[in-house]
Amino acid sequence: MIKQHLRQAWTMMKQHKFFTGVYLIGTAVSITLAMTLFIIFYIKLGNIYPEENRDRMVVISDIYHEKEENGGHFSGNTSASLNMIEQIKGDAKHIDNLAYCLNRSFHKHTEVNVDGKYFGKYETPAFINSGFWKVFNYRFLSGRAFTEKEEHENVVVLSRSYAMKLFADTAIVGRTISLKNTPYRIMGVIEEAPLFMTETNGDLFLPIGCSIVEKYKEGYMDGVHTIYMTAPTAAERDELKKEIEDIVNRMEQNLPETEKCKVSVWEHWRLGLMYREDGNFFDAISRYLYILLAFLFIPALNLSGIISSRMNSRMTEVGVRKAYGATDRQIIMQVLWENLLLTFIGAIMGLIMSYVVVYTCSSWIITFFDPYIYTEPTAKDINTDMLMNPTVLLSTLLLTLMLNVASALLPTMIALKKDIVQSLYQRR
Amino acid sequence: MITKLLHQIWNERRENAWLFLELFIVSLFVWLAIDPVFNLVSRNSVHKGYDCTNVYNFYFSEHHQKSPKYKEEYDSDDGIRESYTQMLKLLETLPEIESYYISHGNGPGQVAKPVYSINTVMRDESEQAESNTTTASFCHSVEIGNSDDIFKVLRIKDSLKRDVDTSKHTGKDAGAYITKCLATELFGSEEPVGKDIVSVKHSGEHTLKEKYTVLGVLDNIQQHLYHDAENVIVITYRLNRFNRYRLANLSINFRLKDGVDAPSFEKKFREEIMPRLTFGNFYCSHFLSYEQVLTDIEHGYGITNAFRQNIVLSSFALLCALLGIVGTFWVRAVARRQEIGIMQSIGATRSAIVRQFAAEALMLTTVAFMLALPLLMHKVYVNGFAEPAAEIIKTPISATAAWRNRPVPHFIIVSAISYLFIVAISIIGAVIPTFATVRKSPADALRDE
Repeated sequence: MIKQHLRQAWTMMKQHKFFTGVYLIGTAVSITLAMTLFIIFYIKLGNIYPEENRDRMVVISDIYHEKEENGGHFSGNTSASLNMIEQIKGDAKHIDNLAYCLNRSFHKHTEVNVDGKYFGKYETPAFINSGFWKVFNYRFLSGRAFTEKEEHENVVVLSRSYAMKLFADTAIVGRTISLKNTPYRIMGVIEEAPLFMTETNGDLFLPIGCSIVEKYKEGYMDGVHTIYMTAPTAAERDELKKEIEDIVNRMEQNLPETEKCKVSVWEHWRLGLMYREDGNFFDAISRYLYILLAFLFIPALNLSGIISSRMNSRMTEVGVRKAYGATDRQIIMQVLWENLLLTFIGAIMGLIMSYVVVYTCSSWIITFFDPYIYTEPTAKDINTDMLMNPTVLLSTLLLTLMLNVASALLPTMIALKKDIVQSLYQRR
Repeated sequence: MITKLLHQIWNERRENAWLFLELFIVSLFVWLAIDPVFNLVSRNSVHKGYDCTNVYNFYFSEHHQKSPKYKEEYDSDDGIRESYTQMLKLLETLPEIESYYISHGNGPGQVAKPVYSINTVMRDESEQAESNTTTASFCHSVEIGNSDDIFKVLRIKDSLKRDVDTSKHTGKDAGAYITKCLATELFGSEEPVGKDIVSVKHSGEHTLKEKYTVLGVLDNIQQHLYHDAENVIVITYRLNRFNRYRLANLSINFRLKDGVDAPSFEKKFREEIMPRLTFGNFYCSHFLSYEQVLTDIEHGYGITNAFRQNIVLSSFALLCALLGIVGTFWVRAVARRQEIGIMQSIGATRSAIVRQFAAEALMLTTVAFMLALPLLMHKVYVNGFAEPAAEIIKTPISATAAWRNRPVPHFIIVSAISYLFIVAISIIGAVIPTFATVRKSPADALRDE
């Protein structure tokens, strides 16, 4: 029966080329925009290289600090202190791995030399602990990560593109580069993170204890470090968050009266969405859901209008089928199946178009919904894992079904309200 | 004619209902998307009062004390002044540069948020009264060696659109140039030269007061990006007034001579000049065109994305409307082939039939848009107009705002733009399928039935 409906739909598509064209374009536009939106958020929130543990990650990056000192009042945003990191390491039971790095705003203009040749002032090296390699899953093209024991050595891990820039090769383990006139031994070369991943993108990864790192004055809680923690499973992330909040609250109790700290313990999705407010995930994405609904609802209305007009000219067929005993349900299913073929073809066009949009507009589409633009990625930063994955494909299918039902069900039900005689009489 | 059209629309009410509903929603959607775009475009197109094309900024950093390039003998006020002087000498040798000035803080338009940089200004300390007091922001430059003035580099004119007369500026720090709107507000005249103003800034429990003599009146300047012209005071300091901390935060702005190829100069500056712009502990850390600085502000405060989002959303709504109208009118034109055939056989021309369908579309669109307007008015009444980049545009529309930025003209303009867009799309959507149908001969049209 379904095969017959689809065959009939195929014949009608060939007969009514204009209608088919308009319908397909309408569906394709809707799916293109909806899937582009979906892909943008998948890239921001999904578990993708090297941030493959985002769903079980908790982050401390911002601490609001107030202090009364020498008769003056000081306040501002800082990061976490090493003391806080030690407290968390000691007390948290739900931590699988803990990474921390020096807040990148503290380091700029590190001069890089290779064999005496000057390679410019490198802007933002990452100073990380060994746990960073466990929290984030970088692929090593050569060599290995530094261990906890090597955190105070002058070693460095380079990104693939930076290794190519300096040495035109990635098999460079054991060679040295000079940073601020100090030699650093290359331990490994990694496949770099996309440019829009500001937490993990970088060309030079140095141990947090290496000689280039300056000593910063830190407070009991406020300091210069960003902390990333993973729970053993995604289901345990909220427990980890609660546990960290408890530790931080206990630390706040120990602060002197002249000092206050407000620590933000965040799930990783807040970093992706740049959502720095209290509130749940739904609050953060509600605006985008409205846009997604608009992307589906307006075309659905549009397609409903076309189908409604077409149902009017198919009333004779409906009347004949009803006269021979077809139930309303059977006729609705017939229209839905016919329509599904069109919607499905439109959806495939839309999905391909959304890939084209994401690739060709990569310099601005990834940051399209951000409150501010911090980087301009290129097509090189988009890979097939971000586009061709089960989540994206299943979402397309789901949106297609929603669009199909939303556009065809109501006009068909309205058309079926007429009785057989009226239906046949109308096209006499 | 109108009665006939209304009859026709009513007879096809079921099909029209979908279209009508869609047009109603699209009207709301398009209006809400065009409002922020208009808001930004309109605010950005106010008279800027300066010309930043071919103007560049370059900034300095200092070698850290641990750096092997650090020179202790230059880590003093005099050492830093000497560093600047030497670097400026190099700049003066470049034949492409027309003029330069040293800026302390941001130049006009390079400030996004007015809240941090506004001081209270009064006519005279002895005349403290509300009518003599207003607010203004400052624009600072610093005099070093042969440096030019900010007016020359940014081509700022006086209130009579002439070059600013700086001959009265004898290097005294107490002299200030004020904009026309500030002069009018404080003194009720555009010629308060020689009179005194007092700036008051509160910092914690301290109140800082500074007195300046007005040296000249400038054309209005858009000091904050996406704001109307504001009260601005331009002051040129002498370098010896600055302490070490302030000296370390200066930047140099220069203008290229007319006719110089800017991209070639930029390449040359980055590759050849920047590495040489180093003296003492200072080195040129980055170099940007003035326009790039403004673009970075637009990126950083969400203005670029506000434009992009609203243009994409309104384009999407209009495209959907186009497809909906094309589809619906096509199906209806096909269904009414018999009617079209009869109309053609009794002498109706193709254009008359197309006009009738277009008029139907126009009427549906107009009624849908009119019904959307009260809802939009209510939205504006309750929530105000769009604030596409709330970070930057927090100030309410002021009494001195350009006429188009005031509420009633703003609403009318946005409504008119939205209506024109939707009407254009509706008519195109109705005409294409109708025209395709009427191309058939009346006999073919009637036989198809």
